[in-house]
Amino acid sequence: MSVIALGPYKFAPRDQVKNFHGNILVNFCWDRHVLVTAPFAVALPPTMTLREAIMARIAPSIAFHPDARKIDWNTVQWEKDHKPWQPDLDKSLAENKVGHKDYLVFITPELKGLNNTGL
Amino acid sequence: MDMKATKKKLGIKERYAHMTRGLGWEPTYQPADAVFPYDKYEGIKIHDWDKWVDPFRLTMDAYWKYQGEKDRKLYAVIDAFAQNNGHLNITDARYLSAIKLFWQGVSPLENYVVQGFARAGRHFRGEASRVACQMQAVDELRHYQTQAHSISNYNKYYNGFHSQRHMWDRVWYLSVPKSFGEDALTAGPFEFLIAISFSFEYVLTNLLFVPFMSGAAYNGDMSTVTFGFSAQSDESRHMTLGIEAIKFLLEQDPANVPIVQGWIDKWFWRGSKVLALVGMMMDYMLPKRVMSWKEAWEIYAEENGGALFRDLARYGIRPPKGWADACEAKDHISHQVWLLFYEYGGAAAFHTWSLTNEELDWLSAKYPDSFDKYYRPRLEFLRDKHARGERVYQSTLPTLCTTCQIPLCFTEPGDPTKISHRETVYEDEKYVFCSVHCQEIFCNEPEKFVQSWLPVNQIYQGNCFNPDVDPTAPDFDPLKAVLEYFKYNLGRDNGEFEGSEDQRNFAMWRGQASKN
Repeated sequence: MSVIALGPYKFAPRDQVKNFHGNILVNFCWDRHVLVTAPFAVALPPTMTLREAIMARIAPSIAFHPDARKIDWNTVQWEKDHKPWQPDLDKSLAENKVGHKDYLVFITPELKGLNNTGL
Repeated sequence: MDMKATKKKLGIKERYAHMTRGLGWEPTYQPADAVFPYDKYEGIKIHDWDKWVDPFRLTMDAYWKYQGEKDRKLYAVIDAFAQNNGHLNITDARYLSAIKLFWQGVSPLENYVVQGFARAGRHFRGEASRVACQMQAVDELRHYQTQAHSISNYNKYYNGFHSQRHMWDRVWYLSVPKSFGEDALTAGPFEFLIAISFSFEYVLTNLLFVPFMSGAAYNGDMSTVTFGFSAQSDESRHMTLGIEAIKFLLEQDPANVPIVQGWIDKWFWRGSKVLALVGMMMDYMLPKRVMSWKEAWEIYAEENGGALFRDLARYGIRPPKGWADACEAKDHISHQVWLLFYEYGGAAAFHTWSLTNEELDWLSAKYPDSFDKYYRPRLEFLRDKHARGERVYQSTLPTLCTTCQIPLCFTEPGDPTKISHRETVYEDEKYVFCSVHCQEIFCNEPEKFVQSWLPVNQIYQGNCFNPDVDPTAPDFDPLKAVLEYFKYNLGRDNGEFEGSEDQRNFAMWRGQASKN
């Protein structure tokens, strides 16, 4: 469907990648750890490795969660586009085909959250 | 000889006819469609505008008289409040966070509704509908003004009330009501009417005003109670207008039904998301609580709204699509939004705090199915950290929903530890949503929502810094620069309540009022 309007109604998307000064916007959600209240959106250079991105931006942001220090990033499971995804942490975001505004979920099944209830 | 006295006064029906339809005329210099260019393109068919009747049959002359009387009473109370240091009679300075949120995020919406009704009042073809919309536009302007005048008393003493107009266009969480209002304002006049008069005023407004004003009364805020009362008779008229408007549209043509249904689906969902802020206020910000958000939802949405949609079923209208999910969320949203603001408390222009055991027990009792399992452990964990001097302040920005613009803090229906998210690719751009309903709203009008001004994304694009800052400077602190762009007084407007200037001042002034 589309907007019902009296005249032509077409505007440029406001969040095109060209507006981000060479970065891409990437979303990270820690699955079943809702003590971290919302996923993060971070702007990253596509040449950065996924591991660098995690260590620089995500690990410090979840550090207050008691499960955070138990994460073994090498065994973390991932989802992208609602499907299982196997990135190479030491390759760049671009090489891992992480696109602008992608939503990455990292899953740590052995870590059950606060009180073992997914918090 | 008896003389028959001439009838001096018109009856209410005659006066209504003269003061509405009697003021109109058939245009002759221009065709009517050129004079009223906006009341057909949305697809709504109106065959007889004269079927529109304001149930109050209120006319402009009577309107000015009623409103003038209400204003005289209201301003007498506001004066008394100021002269008697009414600001020291509230239960606790924590209460002010609710008023700050109202002033920052709800009052500006009144102004948007002024604009919307002024426009509808110009562009509808029927005279009676135009008069009703004009009066509502004036009502909403009066609401904004009376709120400004009542709340200005608090602005003299407490932080976070300043710079409202500046913050409205910039601050991340205010983009939630702002985008709601702008979505309605940029729709056609009929969609605006369904969005505001019906979905918001009729179905949802009790959830905003009743708990808010009772909360004010419970917490000694006579200033807010008085503007609430002053607005209440307007609100009942607006609600009646909302129900009359929808019945009028549905009765005019069967082809209107699916269009109106689509708007109800959209605006009920959008409204329920905005009201999550009210849920947080009721459950967390009132030192003396009135009722839980869940109880308010059950009375005002489930019972009253349920009866309404049973009544509208005869027109072929069903409850809004998001109804079941919104009802399921009553156990969760107030807690999820409070925890979001607590963790992002450094970036909010009101205070957040840890709850006492007594307050946690109240919530446990009100939310037996969700609080002890999913929320109490989080609140206690964060409280313990704060007690150890490690107050949690999140500084990495959250993912926002493209439609409602709320950070993705809500969980899947029936799965309270799974963050809900949806994605759509439209013309090679990816868009993220908090729910299937926000995704559907986008997909119905993608050209509109590709323009969403999402504060987080704007910050990363470099559009939320003051012009004189240098992002390449070695000591550049982006979060601080953004908060300065918002015009926050850092360390006074934002952050933890415990130890705040508001807390200290309230305690000191109240102490001076009650002791030597």
